[in-house]
Amino acid sequence: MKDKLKIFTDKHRESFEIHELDLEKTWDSLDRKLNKLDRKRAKNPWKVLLKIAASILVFLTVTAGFYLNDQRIAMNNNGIALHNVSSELADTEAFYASQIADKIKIIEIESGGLDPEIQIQLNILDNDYLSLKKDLNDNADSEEVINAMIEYYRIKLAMLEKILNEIQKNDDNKEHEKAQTI
Amino acid sequence: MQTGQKSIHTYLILKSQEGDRRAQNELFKLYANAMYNICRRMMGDEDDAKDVLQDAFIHVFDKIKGLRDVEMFSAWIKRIVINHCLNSLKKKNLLVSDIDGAGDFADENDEKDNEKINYEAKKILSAIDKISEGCKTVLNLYLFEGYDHKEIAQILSISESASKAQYSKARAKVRKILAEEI
Repeated sequence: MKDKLKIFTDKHRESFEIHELDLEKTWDSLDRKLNKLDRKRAKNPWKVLLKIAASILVFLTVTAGFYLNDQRIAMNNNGIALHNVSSELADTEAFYASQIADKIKIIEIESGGLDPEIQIQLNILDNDYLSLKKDLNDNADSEEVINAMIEYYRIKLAMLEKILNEIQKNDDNKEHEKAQTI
Repeated sequence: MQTGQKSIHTYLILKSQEGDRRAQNELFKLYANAMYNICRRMMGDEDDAKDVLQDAFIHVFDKIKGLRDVEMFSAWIKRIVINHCLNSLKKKNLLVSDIDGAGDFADENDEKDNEKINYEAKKILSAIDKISEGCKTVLNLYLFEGYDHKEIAQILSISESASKAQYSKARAKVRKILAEEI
C-alpha cells in the first residue's frame, strides 16, 4: 500500500518549513549564554586540569598496578630510589627532580599557591612512586620497575607543564581582554 | 552544496571550532531556521521550541571542537537538535505512546498550485500538532527528518515494529483530524 502522506511530504518538503525565527534576537540571547559559559570556564580552569590529571593518574595507577600485582612490596624500609641504582639514573632523577621543583615554584608564584585539589593529585602520584621504590627494593635489577619510576617523573613534569601553560594562557587572555577594554 | 559554498561552510565550522564568535554567528544563521522547524514540529509549543533550540546550539558550540569530520556537521547538528527535543519531551513525560486506529492518507496525484500545497502542508502540520507526543515523534522523524524505522528504533530505544506501528497509527490520526476539519 502506498504511503501517500510520505509521498506528499517528500514531494513538497519545502512547504513544511513554515516557521521563521527572529535570528537577531535569538542570537543575542545565545551569545549572552555562550559568554556566560566562557566566563564560567575562565573562572575555573582547574576543572579541565583536574580531568587531565585524573587521566594521567589512571594511566600511572594501571602501569604501577601491573608491576605491583606480581611482586611483593618491601614494607620494612623506604625502598630504593633511582639514584641508588646507578650514577646514570641518579643524573636522570636529579634532572627531573629539579625541573619539577622549578615548575612547582613558578606555579605557586603565578597562582598564589598550588590548588588543594591539584596538590591531592600530586600526593597520590607521589604515593604511587613510593610503592615503586619499595618494589625496586625486591627487584633491584628490574628494568620494568625502573622504567615505571622514570615514567612517573615524566608524567609529573608533563602534568605541571600543562598546568603552567593553562595559567599562562589564562593570563594572556586577561591581558588581551584588558587591552580591548582600554 | 556547491564548491564555493562548501568551502565557506567548512571555513565557518573550522573557525567555530577555534571559538570564533562571528563564525559561530554565521553558522547559526545558516542552520537556525531549519533546526527551529524541527523543534517546532517536535515540540509543538513555540516557547518550548525556542528554549530547546537555544540549548541545542549552546551544546553544539560547546562541543564543536570535538567534531573530527566537518563533512558530518549537518547530520551532527540535526541529531543534537533531535536529541534535545527528545530529552525535553522525556522530562515533561510527554513521550508516551497513544496508539489506536490505522488508515491511509488521501490520494495525491494531481498537480496542485503552490498556494494549495502550502495550505495543505499547514493543515497537515496543524493536525500533527494535535496528536499524542509518542506518535508525533515517530511521525516527525520518519516523515521530515529522513530516518527509517530501524534508525528510529535505535534513537527511541524501541523495536522496529513498534516504530512502524506508531507511525501507522499516527498517520491514521492525522487523516482522521483532517477529515473532521473538512
